[in-house]
Amino acid sequence: MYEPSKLFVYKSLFMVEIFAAELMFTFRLKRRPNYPLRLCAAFLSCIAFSVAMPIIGYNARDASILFVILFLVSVLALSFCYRDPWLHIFFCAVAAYTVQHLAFELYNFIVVSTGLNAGLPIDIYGEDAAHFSGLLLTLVYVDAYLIVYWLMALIFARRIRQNEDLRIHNLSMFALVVLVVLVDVVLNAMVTYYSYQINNSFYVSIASVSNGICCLLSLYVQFSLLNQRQLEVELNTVNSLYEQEKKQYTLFKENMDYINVKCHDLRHQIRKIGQRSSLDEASIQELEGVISIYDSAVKTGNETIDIILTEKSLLCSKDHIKLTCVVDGAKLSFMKASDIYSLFGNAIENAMEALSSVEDEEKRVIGIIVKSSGAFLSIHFYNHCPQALQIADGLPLTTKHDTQSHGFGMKSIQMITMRYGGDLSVSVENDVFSLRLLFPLE
Amino acid sequence: MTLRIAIVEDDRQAAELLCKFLRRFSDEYGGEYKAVIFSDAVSFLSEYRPNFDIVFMDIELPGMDGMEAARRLRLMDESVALIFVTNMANFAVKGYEVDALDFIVKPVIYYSFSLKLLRCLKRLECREERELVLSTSNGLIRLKCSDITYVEVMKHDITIHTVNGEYRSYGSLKKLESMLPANSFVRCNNCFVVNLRHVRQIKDFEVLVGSTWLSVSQAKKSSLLRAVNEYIGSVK
Repeated sequence: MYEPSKLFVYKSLFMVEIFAAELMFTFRLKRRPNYPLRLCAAFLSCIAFSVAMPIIGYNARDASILFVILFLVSVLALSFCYRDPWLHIFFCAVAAYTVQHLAFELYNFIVVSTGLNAGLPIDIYGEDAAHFSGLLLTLVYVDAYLIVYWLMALIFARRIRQNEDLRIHNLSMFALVVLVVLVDVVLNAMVTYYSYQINNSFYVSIASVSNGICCLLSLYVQFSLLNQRQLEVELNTVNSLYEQEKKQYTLFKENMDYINVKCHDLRHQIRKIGQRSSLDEASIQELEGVISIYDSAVKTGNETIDIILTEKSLLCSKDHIKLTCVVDGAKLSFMKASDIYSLFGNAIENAMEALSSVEDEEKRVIGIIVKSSGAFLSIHFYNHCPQALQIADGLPLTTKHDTQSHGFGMKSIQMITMRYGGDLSVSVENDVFSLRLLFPLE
Repeated sequence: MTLRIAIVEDDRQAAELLCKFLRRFSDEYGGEYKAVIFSDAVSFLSEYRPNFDIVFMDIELPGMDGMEAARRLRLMDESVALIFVTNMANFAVKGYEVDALDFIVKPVIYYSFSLKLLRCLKRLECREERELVLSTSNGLIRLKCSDITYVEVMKHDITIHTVNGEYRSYGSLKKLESMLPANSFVRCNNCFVVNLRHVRQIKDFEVLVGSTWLSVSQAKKSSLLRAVNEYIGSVK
């Protein structure tokens, strides 16, 4: 059982390969304290285990079991090094095994198809005594692995962001991926052992190609699932923000209505008192004016816009921002109240945010123009904006540091615009930021 | 080219402040401006000739107020740029009724003034008329680009539809496209180039240009919408 057969040597080499691939995918995971020490300890114990692991038999089934056990041991070792939930580690490990397997298949393919090994497959699973396979083969081996690992790191490993949630909810899909990898391993073992008996290099190289493609596909599926998850999270955030805004709108409207009723009553009282004290009309009107909190409210022909503009203009004057609006509110009747509130709310808040760092009060300017032209409704928000903005996918990137939880205002505006078949265009010119929306009307 | 500006403002100091800002603006950005001050709406309207480029109108005027004056102005001149200057922000909200470009809150501050004037100037720039000389089946003709509603192409047969009728020509669409101003002409599918000035409506995959409905290809729909967005934003 402990003869220095080729498989005996290879199982330790396999452990090194797997460990290296796993490191490639886990480098953004949260590390436990004393990480370097833990990493060395984990690596050494994995190697030790792989050396100590007995070879039960030289056939496809036993070899597969051997490799799966070694793989699981490496996953255990990783959880010793990283604090992330084991599903995250497992995600990375499965990707790693796929990459290792892909590299192996590539090496196999090159050797067999080019006849480097005298047309024979690599019998690393073999029973015979291990010997050095020659410089050329070793070179090919190292190159094949390096190229594959580097390419896969570039294409896939980079997609794992920091603090990423790697739990794929679509468990059935993920299970499929794991199954594919396993089957690939088993099938590969079967092909390898079969090829020792029948010398058919053509068949072996074809099998390598198809196994390799299998690996690539399963990596692609795995990372597509991850991407899907990221999009779901983003969508949920935008939706919950939208719900919050809806509640805010209802609350504000209730408040405003209530205060207006009270002001109305107060004005009556003031008039009565004024007349009784024989106060002149001008003074009475002055007193009434003081009570008119929401009376200087904006009247655009659309109640929702009136409310949001009133709310925001109060906030703006508090922040010493000049907000000017030319708004044909009646033309916005095609839009749901909550969409109007969210769209205008987000646009104005973004503008206010951009102006928050501007100290020169003269430059704290926001303009809103809503007007129709033909069967089109044009909405234009503009504000002074001293910072340079980066634009990605047609939307400006958030200037806040935490890019994962900001920038949703813009996304929300874009979603609403798309919902009504409109167009969104953003531009910065002469330190002025412009957001232009266009909606086709019936 | 000197731009002619009308300032309709009864407060002498406010009017002079605007002139002062105009001078500062021309020092900063170049350009020549000639300003004429009117102290009430009636004197402004009674001798009005459509040779002003921009009108700054106060809303609170003695006698006829600014909004009413603007309405009457529009009956005489549809295209002059109108900017309200006022402390009555609520009334200015209705500025769209008279196709006002924007408004400035009193007391006027230079930055607001310059920002909105820049917007106005960009608009005027884009409105400049371009002419096209083409050889057609009727001989050489000179066309105003703004009169062209759309251009239809079948292989190399070009039909130019204008408000005055159709003209036939021969040549490649690409060459013709290069002669037309890029910010107002855009393709809606392989055979048609439309003038955004005459685009009235877009419905599903059709666009109404002048009084003709043309079909829009799947690939071109979003770019057409974007072009209309930018056109209305900067020219109309």
